[in-house]
Order: sequence, then C-alpha cells, then structure tokens
Amino acid sequence: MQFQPFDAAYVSQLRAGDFRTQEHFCAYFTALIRIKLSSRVRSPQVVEDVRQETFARFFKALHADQIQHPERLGSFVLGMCRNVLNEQYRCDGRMTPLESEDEQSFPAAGLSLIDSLLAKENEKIVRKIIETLSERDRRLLTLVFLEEKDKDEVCHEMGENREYLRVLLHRAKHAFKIAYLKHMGENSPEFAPARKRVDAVRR
Amino acid sequence: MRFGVEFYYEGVVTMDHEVVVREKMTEKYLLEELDPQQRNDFEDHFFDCPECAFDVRAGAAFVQHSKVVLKELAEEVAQEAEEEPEKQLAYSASVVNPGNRGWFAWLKPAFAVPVMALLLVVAGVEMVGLQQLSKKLNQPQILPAVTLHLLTYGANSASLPIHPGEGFLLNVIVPPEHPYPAYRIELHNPAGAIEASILVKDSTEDTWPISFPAANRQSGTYTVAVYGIADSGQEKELPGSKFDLQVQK
Repeated sequence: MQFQPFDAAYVSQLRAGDFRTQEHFCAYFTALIRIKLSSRVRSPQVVEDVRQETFARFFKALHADQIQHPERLGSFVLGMCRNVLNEQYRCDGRMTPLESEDEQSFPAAGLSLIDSLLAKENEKIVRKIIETLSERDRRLLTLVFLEEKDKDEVCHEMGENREYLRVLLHRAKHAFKIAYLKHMGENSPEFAPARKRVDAVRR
Repeated sequence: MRFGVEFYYEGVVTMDHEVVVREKMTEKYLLEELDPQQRNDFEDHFFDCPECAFDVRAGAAFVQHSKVVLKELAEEVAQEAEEEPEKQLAYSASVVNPGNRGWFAWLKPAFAVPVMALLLVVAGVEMVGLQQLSKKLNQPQILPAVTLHLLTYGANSASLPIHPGEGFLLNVIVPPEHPYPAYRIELHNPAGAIEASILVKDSTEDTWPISFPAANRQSGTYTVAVYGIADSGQEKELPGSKFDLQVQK
C-alpha cells in the first residue's frame, strides 16, 4: 500500500471547496481526533464539540492562508485540537478519563447508516481474526479490552509479559489491516490515505 | 522522557518513523503505555504520517470492535453451556469421581504449559472417553491459570475466575534454592479441607505448573500449603500461598 503525505495540492483543493477533498479531510481527521480524545475526555458530546470547533478554526485559518506548511497539515490540525481541548478543559473541567461502558463506545454515537454498515463489516473481520486466536489469547484480550482489568495483573496471572500483549495486538492489528484492505479495497471510506482521494478526483 | 531517535523539521521535534514502527508505538499508544510526553510526541507523528495514522486507526478499530465481538463470543459460549448441561455434568462427574481412577492420579506436575495442555487432552480422552461426550472437549483447551509465588503467604490473594465445572492450572513459583529434595503440596478448599495433595521430587524447576481437573467447586479462598521433605523424611511446613477462586455463574 502506497501512502502519500498531505501536500500543497491537497490544501489547494481543500481551500477551493472540493467536496471529495473536504469529505476526506473531515473523515480522516474526525477519526484521528476521536482516537486522540478517547482516553482523555469523558463525554461524547465534548468530543464532538472539540472536533467541530477544531474544524471551524481550521477552515477559518485555511481561508486566511495561514497553512504555511501543507506537508504538516496533520500537526496543524492537532495543534488546534489541543488548543480547543485545553480551552474546554479550563472552562468546565470535564476532561477526565472515560468511565462507563456506554460512554466508551462513543465513536458509534450518531453514526450514519453507512457508518453502521461499515462498523458491522469491521466487526465481521474482527470476529474472524479473534476466532483464529487461541483460547488463551482470546482470554487475554477479553480481560484487557472487555473487562478492562489491570494489564500488569492480567499478564502476571496468565504468565505473560507486556511485550506478549503488544505482539498479540500487533498481529491482530496487522491481520485486520490485511483483511480490511482485501475486503474494502484501498479506497475504502474509512482508511483511505489522503492523496488517494485527491487523485481519484483528478481522474 | 522523549522516545527513540528524533529529528528536527522546521524547528519541530518529531519522531523517527522507523523507530516508531520498531518500538511498536501504535500498540503502546493503544494500550496506554506511553507517558504524556511520549503520547504527545507520537500524536505529533501520526497526525502527519498517513502510514502511522492508518496503523493507529486500524488498531483502534480492532480494539473497539473486539469488545463487541469478545462479548458476543462469551455469550455464545455461555449459551452453549446452558444448552448442553448434561454433557457438562457427565464430564465433571467422570473427572471428580475417585472410585476407579483416583483423584490424586490427576495431579501431575508439568514443566511447560503447552505440554501440560496437550497431556491434559490426551489423558482426558484416554481416561474418561470424552470423545462421545462433546466435540468441544476433544479440542486442546486453555485452562484458566493463576501464578502463585511461594514465600508470600498472607500477601494479597490472586484471583482465578473459572466457569462452573472447569479445571484450572496453578503456576507455582518456588524459591530457586530448592533446599529440600522433595515437597508435598496440598490444596485446601475454603472450608479448610484438603482437596488434593501432590508430591514433587528432585525438581530443579523454578515453576511447577500443576493442573487441577474439573470439579464442582465453590467460590472462595483456596490455600496452597507446601511442606519440605528432608532426606530423613521429616516434613516442615513452608510459606505457601492462596488465591481466590471465582466460579462465574
């Protein structure tokens, strides 16, 4: 899979209001911002507020020609997200780790029909991967991800170390990427690299 | 602490991609193993690196969806167990019935968990004819396990969740000196009764994996008592350990 970084052409199309580029930008950074905030913010609504405010500031900066380094577009967005988050934190002190199970599933909140279908497809892929794991590895993942037990205690009790857990996740993630790309193709709506979408528009 | 090799780009410190990959930074990030500085540095990197962004998104997606899938799988296993109670009871009864096979015959120390798991399957099939009981029981099985450190008697108890009628594995870590030529290990149930006893001779291993067969056990604190046996045959009680068996309904 060939990855291409953000560049001036991408920023130019974004500034020109190209729908597909803007759609890609929003999908791409929505996912990254949600991942970034997932361990820091309690409320899905706050996550959404931070995301929207970040995007609003970004597009304002974009149209004010403040993007000096298109190749570092991600850092620019991340910096704005951090500023918004810090302001949010100062305002209401809601930036605390997630607690309830319902709240942790916030990426699913407000999903469109397409998002829901994609989530189901991804679940099928993950299920196939997990079904290939040994009972022991499944148990390890269950304790760590589902029951959220202390990772050190889980590893200790199962006679493993943290590196084993990393490798297990690494292999599962790798299998997921391969299966996902095989199933959805490289122009998949969720994981398409930035430039691919722009190229597709140009063609 | 900043992580790995870095380089400067337009006055900004960024992580080196090769180091990020080699150090499994994505996995550490998703497992929340990074300190705040490392976490920020890695975010600086993957927001600008499409390859790492893809990696993080794929990993996060796997973690997110695995919660749903693992829950579903656990529910399916529980449902299967409910639908086949007769098989489970037959299996448990055949294992715990000491009449013709002997309870203690099951308690054999092994020195490698995979070997032990394999032996359990082979021995189980031979002894109780599980082939006609259940297809599932003929598969290699991973036992619930807990690691116990001797010489830490009275310390916090480890937890060992098991399903009703399920066997388990104790990984008993012993002092490396092995001052005694033989040891006797007893498993006491929450009522204080001896549930099992095993003799370990001439072991040079630091860990004794001991399997305990399926039985109808109750939740509670189980105690592992250890006795050192001198050449003269005299026994001395050594610090043991204990664990909380949690039979999950």
